[in-house]
Amino acid sequence: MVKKKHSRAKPQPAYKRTVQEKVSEELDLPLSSMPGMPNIELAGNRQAVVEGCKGVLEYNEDVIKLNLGKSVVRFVGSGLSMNSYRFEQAVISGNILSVEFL
Amino acid sequence: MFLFRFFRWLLGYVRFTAEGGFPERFINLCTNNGIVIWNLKSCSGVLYANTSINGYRNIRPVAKKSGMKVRIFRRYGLPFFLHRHRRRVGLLLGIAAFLALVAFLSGMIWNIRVTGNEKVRDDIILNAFAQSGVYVGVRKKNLDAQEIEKAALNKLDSLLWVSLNIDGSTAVIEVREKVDAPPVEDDDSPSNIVAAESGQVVVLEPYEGTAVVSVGTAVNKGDLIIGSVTENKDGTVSFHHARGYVVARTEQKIESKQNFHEKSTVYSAVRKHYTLHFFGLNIPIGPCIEPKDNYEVYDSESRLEIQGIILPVSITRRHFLICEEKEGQITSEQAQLMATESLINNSSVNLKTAKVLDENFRLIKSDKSIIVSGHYVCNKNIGLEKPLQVEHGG
Repeated sequence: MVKKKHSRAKPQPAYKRTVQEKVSEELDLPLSSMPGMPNIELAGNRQAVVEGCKGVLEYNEDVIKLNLGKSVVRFVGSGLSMNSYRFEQAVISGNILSVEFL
Repeated sequence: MFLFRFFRWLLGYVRFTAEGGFPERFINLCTNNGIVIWNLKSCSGVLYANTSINGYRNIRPVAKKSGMKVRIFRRYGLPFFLHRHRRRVGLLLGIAAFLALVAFLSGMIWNIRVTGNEKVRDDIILNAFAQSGVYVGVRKKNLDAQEIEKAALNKLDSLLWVSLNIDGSTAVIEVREKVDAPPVEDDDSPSNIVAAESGQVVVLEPYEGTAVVSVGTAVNKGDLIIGSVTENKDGTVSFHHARGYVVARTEQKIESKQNFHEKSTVYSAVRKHYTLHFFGLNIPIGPCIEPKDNYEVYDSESRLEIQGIILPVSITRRHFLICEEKEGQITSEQAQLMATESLINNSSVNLKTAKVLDENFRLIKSDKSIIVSGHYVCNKNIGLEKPLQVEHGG
């Protein structure tokens, strides 16, 4: 008799607060001011300023994927371009349709 | 942002294309190697980006590592412009001459502004400073502000303090005027109050001294109203500075005469002469011929100004007004109107502090003139201080 193998959903990793989160909560400081914490500012869906960018993983006019150290952010849209990329700060312009964290 | 773009243009930059290979790796390697790239755009698999001249020189190894082929798309900036026109010596000399001229001219004073003066005219202050060495066209480095301030202040007695500040090519002269101390009245000297005009006293309030007349008394011009002499109980007398308020009902007649024949000055023609002031030079435009006849002259100046900044370029117009004296005849109505207007003006000046109770007007016509007279009954302050000469006995 063949034992039927039940498919199980992959368990989601438990949410664990980072040291930066704990410190900012204790000292009542904004999380974005914590060192090593990436910061993303959006101006509508036309421009995004990403601070703490460690590298570019994918670059074309429809998708820009950036390495933020512990996470990855992906901008999907059309006519995307990178206006500048200096000092771990990238400015992305274009018609941004979605922002995903991977 | 404009300044940023200007500096990039000044230093020069190139827009290049990169195709094939891995654009992500290319961008990362550029950033890691300190090659600044901006305005990245991916279009049908081709990457367009800008970089500096030095950046493009160092981009080859990076492109090779990421498997991309780079090619210059377009060059921008001053170094490329100069390189393109390097054989045009005249153009380069012109640019160099222009820069030298700008540097030379910005070392001079082209505008002088005076602030803080109310009573002392600008031209008097400017004249004093011109004698001390501050004038349009002077080199800025030759100016010693402290010495000039001292010299100018010595020439201008009515000023308390002056300050010379150089703001670009403008000399700003800031001044403070002297305020005269109010005159101190000699209160102790004995004086009477007498009638300045004839009339009937209606209000009499002596504050110091002895009233000689009473309310209702008629006084003539010069009559004593409040005396300075006061008799003491022991029979001696003492002198005071008489003070008081005296109002009398007075009558006043004001006349105004207007002749039918009137000589008047008529300006028959205007001649103009222009002078161009350009960077301290006075260039007359055409010959300046003064008229032979009677004439009046006045100048007007128009200065070139851009957004509130006065430039050292102006035009002075000298107007010669040629005068002729003509004897004209005016009608009776015109004469009456002019005489009445003159009477109204005179009466408003003379009866400024009086309260008019009654007024009558008369019109006297003769062959040559017309007289309008006004007869006013009014209450008026007629008290007039008259110092008393006292001889002290030995």
